[in-house]
Amino acid sequence: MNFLAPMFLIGAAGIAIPVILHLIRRQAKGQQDFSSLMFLDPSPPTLMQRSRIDQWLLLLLRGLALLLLATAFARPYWDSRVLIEAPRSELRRAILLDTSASMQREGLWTKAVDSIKATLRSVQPLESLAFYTFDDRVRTLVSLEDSLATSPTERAQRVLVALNSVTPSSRGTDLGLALATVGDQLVRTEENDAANLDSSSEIILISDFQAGGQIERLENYQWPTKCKLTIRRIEPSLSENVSADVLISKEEGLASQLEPTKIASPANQFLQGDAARDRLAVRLSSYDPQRMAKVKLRWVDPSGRLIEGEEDEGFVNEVDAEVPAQGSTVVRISKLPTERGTLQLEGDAADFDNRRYIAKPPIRRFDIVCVDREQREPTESLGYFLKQLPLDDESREVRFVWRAPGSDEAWPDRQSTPLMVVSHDMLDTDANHLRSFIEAGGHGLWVLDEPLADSRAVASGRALWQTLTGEAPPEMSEAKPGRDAMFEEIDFKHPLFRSLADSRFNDFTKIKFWRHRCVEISDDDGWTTIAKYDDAFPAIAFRQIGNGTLWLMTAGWQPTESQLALSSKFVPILSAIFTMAAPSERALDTVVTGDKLECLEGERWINASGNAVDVEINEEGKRSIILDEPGFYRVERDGQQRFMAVNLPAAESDTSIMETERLERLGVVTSDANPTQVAIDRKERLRGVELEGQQRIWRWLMVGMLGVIAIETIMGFRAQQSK
Amino acid sequence: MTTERSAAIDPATLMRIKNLQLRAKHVVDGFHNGLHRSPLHGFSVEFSEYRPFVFGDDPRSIDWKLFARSDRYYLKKFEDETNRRCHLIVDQSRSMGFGSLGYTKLDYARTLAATLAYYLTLQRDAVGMMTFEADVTAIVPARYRTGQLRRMLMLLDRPPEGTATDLQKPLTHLAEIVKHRGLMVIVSDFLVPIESLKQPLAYLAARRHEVMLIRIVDPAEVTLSMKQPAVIRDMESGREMYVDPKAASESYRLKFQKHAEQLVALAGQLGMMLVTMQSDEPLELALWELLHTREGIFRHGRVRSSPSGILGGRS
Repeated sequence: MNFLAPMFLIGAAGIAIPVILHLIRRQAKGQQDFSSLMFLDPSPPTLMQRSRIDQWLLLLLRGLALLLLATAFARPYWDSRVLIEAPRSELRRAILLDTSASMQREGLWTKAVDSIKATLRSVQPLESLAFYTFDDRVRTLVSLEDSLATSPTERAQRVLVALNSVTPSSRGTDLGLALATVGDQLVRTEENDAANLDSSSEIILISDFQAGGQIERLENYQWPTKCKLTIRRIEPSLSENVSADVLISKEEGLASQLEPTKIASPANQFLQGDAARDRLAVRLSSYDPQRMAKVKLRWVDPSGRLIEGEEDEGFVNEVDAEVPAQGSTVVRISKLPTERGTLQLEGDAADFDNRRYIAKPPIRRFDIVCVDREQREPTESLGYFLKQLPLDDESREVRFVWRAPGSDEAWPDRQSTPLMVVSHDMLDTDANHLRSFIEAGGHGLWVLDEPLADSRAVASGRALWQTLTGEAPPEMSEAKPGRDAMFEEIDFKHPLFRSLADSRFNDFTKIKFWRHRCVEISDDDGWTTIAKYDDAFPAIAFRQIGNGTLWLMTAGWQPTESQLALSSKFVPILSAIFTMAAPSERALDTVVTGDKLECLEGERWINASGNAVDVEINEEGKRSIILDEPGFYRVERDGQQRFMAVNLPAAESDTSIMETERLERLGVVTSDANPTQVAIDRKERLRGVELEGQQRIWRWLMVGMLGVIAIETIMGFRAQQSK
Repeated sequence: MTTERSAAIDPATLMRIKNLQLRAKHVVDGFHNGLHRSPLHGFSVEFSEYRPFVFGDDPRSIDWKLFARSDRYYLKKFEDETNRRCHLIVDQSRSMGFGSLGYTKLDYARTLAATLAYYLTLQRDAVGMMTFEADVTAIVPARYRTGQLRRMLMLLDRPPEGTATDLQKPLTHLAEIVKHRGLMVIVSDFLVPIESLKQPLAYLAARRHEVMLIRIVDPAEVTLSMKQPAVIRDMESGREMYVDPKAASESYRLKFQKHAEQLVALAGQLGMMLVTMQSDEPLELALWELLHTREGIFRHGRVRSSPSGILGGRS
């Protein structure tokens, strides 16, 4: 039995009052003044005869009347589901629980579980109840179909069982994906069950609503009608969180341009010029809306010990920093002296994102081979400009190798030489070798950098074409002189030009081609043209040969042919070709939990906790693994091992609170814009009011009380009479 | 000289008159009506007798006019009482504030004192007044002059402020300051131990004052008319006591009676007149008693109590 106004039950304690009054000694009625006490003796207060209760039955009846009255005022009702009228329409409910890494924060998970349990208690018989969890993917623990197949009384139990097996993961949050997926599921079930027109659905979202929750996906999502989102925000007990992001080499320039005042650590204020360059810039961001955070950043090795460096080199392995509320600061710490290490943040309460794992990728060495004749004038050769290309970076070293056409030297293997550049001067033997190189998976770039002055030149070109591609050569000719050509119809979506797609860089009109070759190729032949001249002949094209790719440029980049080599576009284009030939390893800080990585056959991946990771093989035979936890993954292959650092997605650290209005702006229909425990209580209370209104037990209690009073009156009267 | 009780004014009715002088006038007028004598022809300067001069008499008393006519020495004697000095001493202590009749003992005592003062003033006697609580609060010396009555009535009108009753100090004080013999009328409830009264009253007696004690008693005090047990607060000391009338009334009655008897005994011993007046009794009775004192009866230790009093009438 429940009560709408339990406070009135206190009134039942009033039963005790007459009993107490009856039992205690008789007190004097009042105070009287008298002229003098000199003739009076004090008479000790005496216990009266009536101290004994002799009218037990009357007392009991009066007590009962009081009790009934108090109970009636407390408005009792039976909260039994059996008594509830069946709801008129069917409701599909889906509980969507956030299991992202930020839910590991202190107390959040318990609150979330409690919230679900509270929800389960209020489940009505005809509701079907699905249960999903999400982080950066969505997991269906109890689907709507499963729930419908279960008997109504066991639905909540089923969710409860599933709930017990869930723990927060170490992944990021994709709230948009989760809402869209679950919304679709509900819509699909609704469509399957078209007979029931009255059905409506509700998604109960239980999450900490961190701002890093990624809801952009909802921008292109049509929120289903009849579906409402109920938000249960789980408030963390501590809102503070500080995250550390390594500003990787590309951004280092940017970081060093930050104003010195922004560099909070006093140690960093003395860092200037080169000294600063030897340090790793780490951005510390605070998501605490109120207080400044005092944290310590230190290098620790995988076993958790502080990494020691050589002190005379000014090795800094520990930095103290103060991060302003809702702000960020950049600190500098010495670069990692060892192969791998962890940047550990101390002094931050939310522990889930306090470690940044960093493993240096092994430096790979490549050759780029250019088959070209040495010219009298070096600038007239392709290789001269190729040699200048800055292809080195942190993870690779590229050596330029000049190879004379028809040389007897051994051909380089595909592993060490990802890209070969051949000029028009190559010989037939070179063409043969190049073809087998490409077929094995290498990339070859054939540059037609000589004018097809006469038919002999055309013939030799066609012969080489025949050798390289194994197909009939197309028509080749020299473009008509006297008119400079320009690039046109550039495919900016192709990786080659993608970096130049921005409007600031996509002006190619300044690159003039004094001369170029007209090669009549088409997409039907397997070629893909990614840039054309303004006379519609292809400028840059490529096609697959075997496992590799043959690139074709119909003009040279040297100044005798065009302005390309001297333009700012040359390096990005050639770098892009090389990068496509030798894909670089994933960058320092970019591998995050939840990523799916392709892996090679024979590779064995061992995760941070020392367990082997299951390799998934898809229908096409591609092998991949999913990175589930942050830490160092060990990759073993052929007796060699390397480490890969896997971190939490940076957005997951953003624990500031997302405004739920943002969801509404994206078209999500929420059932309560500001859900609080108070609102839930109010709902419960409204339900209580409804039930109480239906049952009206208080009336019977009042009738009972009146009956008791009637009996009491009669008995009291008789007792009076007998006296 | 008897008066009909029915002719007397009911004190409750009298107390409704606010003005003290008017009250006194009513009583005294009523009293005179009862005597069938006009107060204007009073006996205060009444000629008593002529007597031949004998050696040793005060030559001032010789009636020289008669000597001139008859050449004989005669003394002209007047009634001595006309030049009596009378002191009214009124207790204004807290215990006098008790009353169960709608007015207090003090109201009754004041009216009584005013009545006596008015009556004596009409008789051209020198009347003085003293009020006391724990100590003497105010004194109007005994005079016969214009405005004396008004002064005395003003004194009675002053609200009492005292707490305890202490007869010893005021009476001793009075004995010291009043040199001439006179009549002392002490109006009080005498709710003090009898022992403490002995000495001051003996002083007054030793000074050869005629002392009349008027004891005011409230009917509720005589019977302890309580029905329910209650906490009783002493009006003087503030002390509280839980009293159950069933248990305490008998003992109270005995003690009260004993106190009264002791007081009677003391008055008899000192040759004083004691009149016990219950506050529902007509005030004329007090005037009667005053007349008796004038006849010198008190010298024989006369004690009177109201018919309903505990001593059952005059002794």
